[in-house]
Amino acid sequence: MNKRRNMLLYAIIALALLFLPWLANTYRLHLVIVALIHILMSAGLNLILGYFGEMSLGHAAFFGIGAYATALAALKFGCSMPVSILAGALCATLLGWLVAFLCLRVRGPYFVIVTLSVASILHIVAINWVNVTNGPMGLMGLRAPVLELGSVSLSFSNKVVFYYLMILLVGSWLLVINRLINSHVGRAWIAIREHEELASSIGVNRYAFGLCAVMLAAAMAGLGGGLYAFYISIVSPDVFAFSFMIIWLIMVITGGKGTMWGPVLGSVLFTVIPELLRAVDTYRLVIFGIVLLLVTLFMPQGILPMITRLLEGYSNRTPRIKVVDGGADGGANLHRKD
Amino acid sequence: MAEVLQQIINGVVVGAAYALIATGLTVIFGLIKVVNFAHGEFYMVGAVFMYYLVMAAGINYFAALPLAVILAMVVGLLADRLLLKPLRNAAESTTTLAMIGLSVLLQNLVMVTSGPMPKMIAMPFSPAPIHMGPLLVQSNRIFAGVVTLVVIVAADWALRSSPAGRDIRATFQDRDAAALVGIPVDKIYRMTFTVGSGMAALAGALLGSIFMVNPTMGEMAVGKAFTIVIVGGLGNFRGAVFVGLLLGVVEALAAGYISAGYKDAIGFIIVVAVLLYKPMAQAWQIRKVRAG
Repeated sequence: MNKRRNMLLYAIIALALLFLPWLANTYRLHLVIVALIHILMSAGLNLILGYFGEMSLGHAAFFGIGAYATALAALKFGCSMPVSILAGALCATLLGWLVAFLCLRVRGPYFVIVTLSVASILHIVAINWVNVTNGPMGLMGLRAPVLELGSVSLSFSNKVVFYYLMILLVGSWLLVINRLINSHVGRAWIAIREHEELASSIGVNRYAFGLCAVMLAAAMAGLGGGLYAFYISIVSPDVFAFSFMIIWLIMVITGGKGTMWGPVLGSVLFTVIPELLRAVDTYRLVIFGIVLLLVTLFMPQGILPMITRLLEGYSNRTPRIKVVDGGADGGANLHRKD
Repeated sequence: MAEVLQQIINGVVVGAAYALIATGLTVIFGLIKVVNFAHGEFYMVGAVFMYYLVMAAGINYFAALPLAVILAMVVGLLADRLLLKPLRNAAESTTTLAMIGLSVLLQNLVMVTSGPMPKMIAMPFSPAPIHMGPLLVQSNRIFAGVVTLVVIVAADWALRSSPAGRDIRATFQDRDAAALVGIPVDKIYRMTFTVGSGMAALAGALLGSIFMVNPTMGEMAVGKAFTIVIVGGLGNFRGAVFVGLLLGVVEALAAGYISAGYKDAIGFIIVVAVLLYKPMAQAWQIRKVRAG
């Protein structure tokens, strides 16, 4: 019965997504596309942060290298859109391998810093290597192609067409993730996250599974970068910027890291909230910072786990065992008193 | 040769300020084991307070310096009270995100109140450089360098020899054991965070008067500080001082002889290189600290 209800829910959501372009105006459709790109990114980041359990700040590096490689392939070598986006994804995957090779030796805060360093180096290179990247001006003039299917022509610069392309990609990516996290790979990630030594004692190879998580997320981030490049038709060094990469971190953690739908929810929320705050223009980022602080203070597990807990609390009134956040803090209770 | 020495002298002044930011961070980082992205904002806040005290309120430069640091420390105290204390038992990534949120908030608060334009702080020194043989040094740089070194030496002494420093080191090593023997761990956290933020603010107030004050100056500073903390070793005070000075000099030389644009990449490259060649030592160090 429950399964049936879920199927119905999915069908409604799918229908709504299918007919969305008829319901939304251009501006809202643009927001939806941006949110979809964010979902592509944050769902990948969630594999590293939520399941594998290391915090990566290098996601902008994958996104940026994808965007630049796509733009260069299209502009300098005249490749078509699918080929250049694939080239971007390939470059990002290779970078993912390099980053994994460098970063998987270290853990915790060190992992954060090394991933951040890689992104910062690329940011500086993108600004200074003017011959290739055109410096701070960025690469301009990317044109989305027109696909001729008999008498029908699909222009990818059309937002509706782009929307369906994104829906297709994000949908398949989420399916892949869903299969992965319910497979032995996902269980291996969680085992490593929860207790690395115990996991390795039963033969779970941290490096291999970490490599898998980072390279997968990197490939998707590269794809996202390539699509983004074609969508806004300009690539500037900003794609590597710190302010750009924290947005996905915010989406994953506030949405609920280590949950399937948390990053999706987070991506939608944190695409919409900054837009709503445009009304208070100057104070926009100040309020954004306050919202961020309030969410981390009052929902440290994330919004989605909070909602599920509330819903479960209403549906069955059995007392729930409180899940203690594992890892970092074993004997913290000792000094909880001031 | 004189030119090289000149670059080195310039590098030492900047490096001393780096060391000051990084020593504050290394103690905070070692204690709360969280990537404190807001540390750069305390550097920025120190500079901004300095600007308002000197340029708007017209307070004497030398009186404004400690005042700016104290004001920034109040901000640090509030941050610890309102943000870090409730999150003391939260997951690492949650606390990191909270610090990012604090960083976004502080940076944009300053952006809204004082605008994005870079600002100058007038200094009570003559801008004419002092000749030291073939070298030229401005007196404001000498002042900044001397203040920085005095504070670093004092902090090093306090951490090694004072009772509070002993408590900090004990908490750093094993906070549960420290709590068991009656060290007020919560107070140690608060003190460390406040003083560490104050050190960043002092660096900001000093460097802000030599260069410019703008709301985004913290972003680069925090990157540098983390570089230094990692290369110098987590929680290693003297390591941070040494690497900070070194990074300042190397950057000055690289800006002069290689490329000014790539200057800021050097620190990041060093971090990656260190972790590439010394992975086991670092990994071991993290295990030890995390277990503690």
